Amino acid sequence: MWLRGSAAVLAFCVMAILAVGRTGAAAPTRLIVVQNEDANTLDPFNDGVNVGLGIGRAFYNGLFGFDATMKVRPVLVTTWAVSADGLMYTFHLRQGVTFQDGTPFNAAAVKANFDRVLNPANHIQKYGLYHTVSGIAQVTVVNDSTVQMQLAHPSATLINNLAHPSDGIISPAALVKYGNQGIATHPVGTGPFVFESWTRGDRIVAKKNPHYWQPGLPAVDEIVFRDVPDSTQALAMLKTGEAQFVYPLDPVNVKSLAGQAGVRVSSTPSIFETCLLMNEHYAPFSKRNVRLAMNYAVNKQALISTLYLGYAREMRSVVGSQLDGYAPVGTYPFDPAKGKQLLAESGYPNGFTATLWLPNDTFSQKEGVFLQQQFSQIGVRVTVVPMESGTYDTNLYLGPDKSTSQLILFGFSPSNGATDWALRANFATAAWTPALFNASFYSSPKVDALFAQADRTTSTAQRNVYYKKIQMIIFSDAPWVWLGEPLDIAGISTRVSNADVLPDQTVQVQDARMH
Amino acid sequence: MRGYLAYRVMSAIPTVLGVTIFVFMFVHLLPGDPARLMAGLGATDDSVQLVRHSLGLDKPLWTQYSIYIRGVLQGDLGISNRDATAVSVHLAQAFIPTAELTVAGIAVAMLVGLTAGIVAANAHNTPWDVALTSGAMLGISLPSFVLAFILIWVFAVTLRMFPTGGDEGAFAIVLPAVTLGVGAAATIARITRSEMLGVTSQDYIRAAHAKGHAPLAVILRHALPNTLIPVLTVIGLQFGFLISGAIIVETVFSWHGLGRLLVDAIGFRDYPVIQGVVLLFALEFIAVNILTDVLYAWVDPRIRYQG
Repeated sequence: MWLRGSAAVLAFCVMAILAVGRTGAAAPTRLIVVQNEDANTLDPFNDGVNVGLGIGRAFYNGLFGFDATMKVRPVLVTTWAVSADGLMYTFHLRQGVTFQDGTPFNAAAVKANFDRVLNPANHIQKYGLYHTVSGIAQVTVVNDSTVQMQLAHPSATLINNLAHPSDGIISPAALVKYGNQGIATHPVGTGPFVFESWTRGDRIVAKKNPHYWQPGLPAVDEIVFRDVPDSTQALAMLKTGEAQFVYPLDPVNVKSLAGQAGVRVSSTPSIFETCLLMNEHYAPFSKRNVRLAMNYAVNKQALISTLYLGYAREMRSVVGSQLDGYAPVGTYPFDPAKGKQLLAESGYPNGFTATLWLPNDTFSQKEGVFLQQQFSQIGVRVTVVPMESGTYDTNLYLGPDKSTSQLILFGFSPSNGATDWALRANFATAAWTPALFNASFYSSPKVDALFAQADRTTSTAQRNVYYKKIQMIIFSDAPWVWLGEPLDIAGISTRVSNADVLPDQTVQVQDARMH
Repeated sequence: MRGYLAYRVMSAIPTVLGVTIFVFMFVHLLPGDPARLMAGLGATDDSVQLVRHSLGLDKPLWTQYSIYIRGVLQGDLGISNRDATAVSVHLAQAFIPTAELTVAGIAVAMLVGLTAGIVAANAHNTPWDVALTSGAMLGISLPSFVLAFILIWVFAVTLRMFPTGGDEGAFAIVLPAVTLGVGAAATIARITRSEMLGVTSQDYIRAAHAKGHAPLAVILRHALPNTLIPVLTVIGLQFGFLISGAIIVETVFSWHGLGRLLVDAIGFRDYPVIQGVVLLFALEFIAVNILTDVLYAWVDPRIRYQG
């Protein structure tokens, strides 16, 4: 009885193995991407956080998109034209594209999306970006494959704003089916992956879209976006092969990956800039020479090597080097002797005191202590005040009547990749907090006039001439100390290619290949 | 007993109400603007204002609270600031992983703790006792994240026996449960040991030995039940503590439970979710307290409550 039973089991096993072997069922290729936060929403027009926007690229395409160097390229648009006065844009749309629920992609779909975000009653977050900044007043359907946007004022950044990951075109049928709120958890777009499930705090699962319009893509069957807040654990997952793409990695972790088989470290430039704001309403900082002294006091190379372990670059202008329209206008070398001299000339031979506000994460605090030490060398006695993120945000956005800031450690990344935005949002007089981010209350009539001229120009090349002039003036006026541009560090399995982190610090993994 | 139970449940209601008022006021006094956090750092001011209005944050405080409490009484805990999903959905999704982890953790804690306590008491004044007491000291003083990292490093990365985190597969619960359980086990071991030492010197234990019972039977049937009142109290307290999501363990092992939910919500100023989670914790604590009291009566026949 024993013998017969075991023979039967053996036979069954052999048959099962042969059966599987015959179907040649290959295991589905699955890419596991780890980030340190969960997405907030999968409705791109309502998302301001990089994690979700990067994930959104699996499900959505925009009218335009960014390539690996932050250049704008058309995606759902094929060609476009601008009227001479810069107020009327005509877009010709890609043909033969369908949404994941089968609805055809056409001009009516584009209109539905923009009508939704431009309607203030919908309270969509990116209303500011598309209505105020881009100036879109009306979207009209010319025919199935042509759509027109009428602007209320010329905008230097409209195309960039349409390349922003928030411009993920949603299926109008899905908007009707799930509603404005429900779409946040049921993304339906034209992208390479179909939404499968979202377990909060754990993972988002995306399955291959078999009807994707780009031939040869997607190259993997499934992407799982995991949310692992602890960087040591994310690192462990990379080493055990439980994850194939981890972003961000700390510079400290990079060493432990050296020599690890099957994993490579990718460090790419970002458009993020870290800097120190000086509030010009605080007496010493109202003087240009004092601000210059503060710039001469900081050894930026030492900052990069001690804090970023070399994973950052010195800035050579007042905006990040990856932006189109960036012009290298100069850098203030490390010269504490000159700094002391400038202070003495400005009436501060014995220096002065200043408070430095910063977020209370470990990295910022280390940076604060470093800066404190640097400034002490020219006689400026800095008190470091770490703040919990909510407090920091509130204090950063205080207006000129309420703000008591003196020095603020700040970081900025123009998410639409536009130099215009990086300059205007931080240095225009109209950008004084709380309207935008000009918390140093810098104001230059010359710069404001140049912005107005750039607005009236439709030629990118001509605009860049104005931006270069603006950068030169701001650099000379030195309202900030420009500390550096960090590199983005990601850990990627050697089996994975064509997956990277864009300079805007969102992941681009939807076109990845695995072997 | 039933009357006692009803009385306890009724008297818990004012406590719960007090908790909601406290949590509501506390969360609104925190600095930080949830509208701005939601809109994102790159948002223009009018985007922020739109978000503020859509979340009802521009209404007076008292109005916001009365809207909230009216909803709670109907089972509606509000909508998350972050992704517009119902708070009750978030809680339901996070509750089961935490419940699994808590049960596994308390199982580890009781098994390890009771055994260690009994063995240490029995082997009193021998090297075993010293070893186990020192082990308990270590368990209490070792921060849970240090233990977590050690376990991950040894068992997940080096030996590849368990996954580094997440909850895929049956093995995934082992490392987090052990991390959680060890801290509680240490406390349980110490109290069990001291209670056992007190009990085993009693006359009835000597009588049981004299009657010829096997030593193990004496320990488990005669000694242990008499230690249970204080031990049960400690286990009940530990259980309540574990229920609060073991925030650190859930974060390190990326276990998507209530602790993680609460931490993420605080960082995001997601008021409705914070209120929902804290309310749930308060209810759980109260429930565990009532359960512990009921268990006293079951464990010790001498205790009877007035109806």
